[in-house]
Amino acid sequence: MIFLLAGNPNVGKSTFFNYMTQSHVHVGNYSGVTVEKRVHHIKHYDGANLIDLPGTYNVSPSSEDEGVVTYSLLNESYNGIVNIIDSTHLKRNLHLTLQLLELGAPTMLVFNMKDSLRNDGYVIDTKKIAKMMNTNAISISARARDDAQQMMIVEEMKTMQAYKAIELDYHPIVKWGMQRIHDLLRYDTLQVKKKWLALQLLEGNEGIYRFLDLAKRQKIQDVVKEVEERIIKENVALSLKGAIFNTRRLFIDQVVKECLIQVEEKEHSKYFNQKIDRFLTHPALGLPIFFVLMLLIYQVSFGEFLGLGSFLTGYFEWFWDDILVRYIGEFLTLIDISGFTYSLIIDGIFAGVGGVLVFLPQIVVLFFLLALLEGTGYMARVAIVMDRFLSKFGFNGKSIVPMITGFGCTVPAIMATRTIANKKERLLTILTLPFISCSARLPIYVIFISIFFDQYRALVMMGIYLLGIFVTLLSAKLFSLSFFKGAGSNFILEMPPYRLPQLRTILYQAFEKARRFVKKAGSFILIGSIILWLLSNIGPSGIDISQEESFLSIVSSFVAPVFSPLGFGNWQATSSLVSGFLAKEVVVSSLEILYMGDIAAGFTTLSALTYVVFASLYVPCISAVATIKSETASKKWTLFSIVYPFVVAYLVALIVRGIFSIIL
Amino acid sequence: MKLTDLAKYDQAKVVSFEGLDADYIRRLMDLGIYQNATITVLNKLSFDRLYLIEVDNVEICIRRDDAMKIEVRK
Repeated sequence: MIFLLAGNPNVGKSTFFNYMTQSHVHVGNYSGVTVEKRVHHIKHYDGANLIDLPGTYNVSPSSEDEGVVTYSLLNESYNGIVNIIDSTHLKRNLHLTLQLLELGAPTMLVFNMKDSLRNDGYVIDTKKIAKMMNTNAISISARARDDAQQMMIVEEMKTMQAYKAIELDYHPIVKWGMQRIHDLLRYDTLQVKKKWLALQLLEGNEGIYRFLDLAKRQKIQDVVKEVEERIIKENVALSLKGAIFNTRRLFIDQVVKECLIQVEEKEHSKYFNQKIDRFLTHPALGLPIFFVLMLLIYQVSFGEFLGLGSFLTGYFEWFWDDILVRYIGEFLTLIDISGFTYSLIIDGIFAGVGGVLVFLPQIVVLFFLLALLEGTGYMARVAIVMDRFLSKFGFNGKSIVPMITGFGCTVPAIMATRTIANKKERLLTILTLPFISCSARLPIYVIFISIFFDQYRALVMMGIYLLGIFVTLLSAKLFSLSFFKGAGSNFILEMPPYRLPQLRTILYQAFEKARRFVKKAGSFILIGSIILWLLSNIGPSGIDISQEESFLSIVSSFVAPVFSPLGFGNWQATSSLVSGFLAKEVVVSSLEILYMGDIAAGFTTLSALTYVVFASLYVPCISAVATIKSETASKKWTLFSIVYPFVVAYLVALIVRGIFSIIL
Repeated sequence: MKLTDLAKYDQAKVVSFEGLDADYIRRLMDLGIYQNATITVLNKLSFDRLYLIEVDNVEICIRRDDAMKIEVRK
């Protein structure tokens, strides 16, 4: 038995999914789109699986997770659909519900957030709603997580059956269009009802055309166009989609009127929200409040004072170096592995992977705190505060969350752009994010500043960070005037009410992100570490050679002259930059190894400055590039995300060198 | 009248959209803002640059530039 789980975004779909299921079956990909498909076993229901579909307002695609829902309804084999609904926002949620019910497949409506609705003073008459919509319905609270309720849902699922598809009384012109498309599809064999397909096509569901032949496509598009023209000409609605929407809304209004029952008079909390909003989104106070909060979060994640992240990192380092690596080293010696292989495992793999994993505790703390802020509803207010400033550069107010995350790590920052619905703005944010100095670049700055700019520590450090922000904004402006014209012009933000976040949900979110970080970073860094170590330890004359004779040295010496204009055209500096592609913290460890611990000897003050500037801006690390690839699903933009920063870094370093060669 | 002509706590019905792109209208629709939808202006934020409006119990924030393109009637 297979059930599809569908629902609007932010209705507690993930919470419900985790609540209903236990063991993990598999995570696959939908063909053609890069959206993970989660399939889990349903608890207390032998042989039944639940497939989690991406959250959507409509069956027809409009956002990034495009087409997945349509694709699944058309191609997936399933026994029923579970539609999860936010009881506190019935009117909006029921639009998707109607589209699913029009399909005529066995469907069950799960009205979630029963307790919040009750707090507002309302209950839903599920019996009546089930009757009106001709389907199964149940009212629950997925947050409660009790077993009895879960079993009750399972029992209800077992009674699901294919009722007659719901048929709304659409405008005669729409009906006429449906009939004509239905006739065109007469001889096609498709899994779903043709009437449903016809309506979806009229609504503009482009995803369906993929499954039809070209000749038919043209004919159908002609019908859609004709219907649209008639709708507008006869003043039925502003558009064809609008006409369909209006019919559904009338029906929904009727359902809500009859089935949403007020049981208690409650004062609305809207006014409480506005009282807080007056401060948090205040034109003058909003920004300082935000910066203080951010400073606090960074201090706790990365700082020494109050530094929970650094504290945990200490333990992690102890465990990794003194326990794991030590005992594995001893074990290797015990089973008689030494020399080349020993060094590959300990100095290559463990040193490489450990160098990145060491940041994990700090990143988990950062994720946790950001999820906490997000959970309270504050982040939406930050988007408002920042919108005025960011929109000037083509960003979206929502870009602020990825940007903040970017100071920690670029990988989760890129993933955080998913909340930006506008494609242009999302892409623009993704492509400029790598210029924001992530925490992995910090060791590079620290080491060079302590050697060359000891008197000006804070100044140089701040300068580098500001330079990164400046390049981010400038690039965004440039992109919004060229590739992404019109970016930054749209802004619709749903304002969630302030609420107390649930610890369990936040922990889950933080660990889920950490898991992705480990998985993505881990796999690349593992492979990369092995390759780097091999390249720097094998040469044309074989293994066990000095580093100058390694392949890495030979190749880097060939590339090095490119950097001569910047003042660091030697193979060590070049190799370190190349290896930094694996992970930025590797730059420092490479420099240490290749200069045999004496970095000061390899640079002048001026070349050190240009090196730091270049290293702060040049290509994103391989994990970030891989994330860009999976999030943009475009080879072109992935390539661009490597080439563009390189060119920018080179130019900026050249300018900095030009200016400072006069001063220094 | 335009949405921007409404005062705080005013209620009105959406009449039409003038000059908003189709993608934007579609997203408004997803949130329930369409012809005949009843909206309430809850607040004007950030020097009146942003409008906090309510529709079907959902609070949505849009820019004044876009709000100006939404025709309403009281």
